[in-house]
Amino acid sequence: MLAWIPFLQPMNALQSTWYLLLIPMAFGIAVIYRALREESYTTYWRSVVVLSGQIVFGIAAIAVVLGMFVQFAIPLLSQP
Amino acid sequence: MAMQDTEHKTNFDIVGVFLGWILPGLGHLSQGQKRRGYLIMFGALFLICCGVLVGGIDAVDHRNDGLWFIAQVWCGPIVIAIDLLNQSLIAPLPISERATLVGLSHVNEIGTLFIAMAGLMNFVAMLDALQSKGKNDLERRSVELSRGTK
Repeated sequence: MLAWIPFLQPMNALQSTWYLLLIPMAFGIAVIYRALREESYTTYWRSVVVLSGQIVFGIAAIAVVLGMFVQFAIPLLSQP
Repeated sequence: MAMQDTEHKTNFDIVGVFLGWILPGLGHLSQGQKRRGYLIMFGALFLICCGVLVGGIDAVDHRNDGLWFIAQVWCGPIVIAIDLLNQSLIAPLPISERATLVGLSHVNEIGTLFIAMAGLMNFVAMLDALQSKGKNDLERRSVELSRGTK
């Protein structure tokens, strides 16, 4: 019997590294969005890579800002 | 003048939208935008496959994740089929057997999110197909640009 059946059972091995899945998700979104917006196929895949990077770095930046807010700003605000 | 007016009229392609819901990208394919259609199809199927691979077929569940299902269902019959599989294969099982088939925590969230993103992006593609009857395909545009016609 298989330990893990793909597409039927969830991939529980990724529980600790779930945030890395942001990269393929950003890629998939960028493929569809640039297919709708790009005017020339010659620049299409370059635009996909750029948009994927922008999404990943944008979400990472939001995570850093929110993390700093929770770790530092809220304790400062809650001090008497 | 009259010709210009007819050119500016918007033609709504309802059939293209419906085909785009049946299979992502099919709406653009039916309008002759082959490369654009295949790319949309690739992107949506990539997101759906990743979602099901990560979260299992439990990533689509209209009973327990009803709001997510509203976003996911824009991918069309593929997602409905996954939900039917989930409801027929996993939902009736006793809790001890379900434990290995149901995604928990991050894996379930990410799997659900992948498919929801595919659904929402396909919704955008369907809106584009609604008005893009006279729009050029990617390959045609690239040829025109290289020839300097645009």
